[in-house]
Amino acid sequence: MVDFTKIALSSSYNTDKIVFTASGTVSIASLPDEYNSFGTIIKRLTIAHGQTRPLFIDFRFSLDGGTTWKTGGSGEYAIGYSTSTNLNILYFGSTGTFTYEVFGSWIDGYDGTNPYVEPVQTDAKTYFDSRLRYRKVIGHGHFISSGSTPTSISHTQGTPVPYSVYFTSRPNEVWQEHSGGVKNKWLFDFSMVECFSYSTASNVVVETSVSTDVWYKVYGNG
Amino acid sequence: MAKIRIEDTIMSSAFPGFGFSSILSGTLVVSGTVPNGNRTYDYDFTVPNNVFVIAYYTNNDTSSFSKGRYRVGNMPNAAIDGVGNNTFIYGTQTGTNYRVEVEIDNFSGGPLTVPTQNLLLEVYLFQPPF
Repeated sequence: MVDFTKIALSSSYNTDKIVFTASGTVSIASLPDEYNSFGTIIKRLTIAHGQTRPLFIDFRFSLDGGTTWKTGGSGEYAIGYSTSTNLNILYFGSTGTFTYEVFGSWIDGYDGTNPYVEPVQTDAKTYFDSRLRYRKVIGHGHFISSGSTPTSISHTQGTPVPYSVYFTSRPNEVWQEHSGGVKNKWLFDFSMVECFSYSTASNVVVETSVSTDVWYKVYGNG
Repeated sequence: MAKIRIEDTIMSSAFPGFGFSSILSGTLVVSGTVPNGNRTYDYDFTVPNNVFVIAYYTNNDTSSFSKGRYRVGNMPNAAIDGVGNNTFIYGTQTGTNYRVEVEIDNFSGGPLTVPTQNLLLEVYLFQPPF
């Protein structure tokens, strides 16, 4: 068994590739409105990511100019999703300022096209540093969930593992996980799909409310 | 630099990866009664300034590991059961403090007894490429 905590980088395992980053501060009131299924205003920040297909989105946000940060997703007051051209951050609130740092990483095997991609390395920044431990992808893929029974993705790590799961909640949109049934504030209508996942010592288990596309990456511990 | 087929590369200096400077762990104990409404529990980590924190959580009931939600004892899967009982885990970073906060929402109409659980917390500290 590989001890991933002792390996900074390994040519045996893929690393994630971050192909887009952005940061900034916007007035929340200036963002366009959407209304969730409860009639509550949700604000949407849209940022063009420069690719031709969706990315996995990760971000953190601050409502006080960068003093206090939260990582976006799930139960937080902000969640992200990607279309083929944009990263979108939804915020549950309507006033103040929204400071964000967002990045998009490549989804291997998203559509089988494996296109050429413009490097984001444009200066002398150090993008790999052997003093850091890089997240190693030990499995990735796509499946169509059943919507009635959980899907198990097996792994051999022997302990719960870090992982990422993204899914199609609305057509042509790749979302961070969200769920919660009638209390889920990210449902704009009840045709939207919900997704919940967890890892055990031998599997990553994914449940969705109805059948939909799911993409995942499973990482080695450490 | 020429364009690259990302899916043909293991790693590439043309694209940043997720490099963690440190991984911290701790245990958050959840127990007692949740009144009709909600109750929160929290655990504090000390972290460097201006790192991006990716957090994972496991509980001792299921040995599961998840990013933003966990199951409370024998409660049904609140995620998609439509009942509306929710469990959330929030992470908030203020300077060098990173607080993990568990919120249990109880819409059952009466007090909800939560079996004592030790949530194992792992936070991965990441310096974003900005």
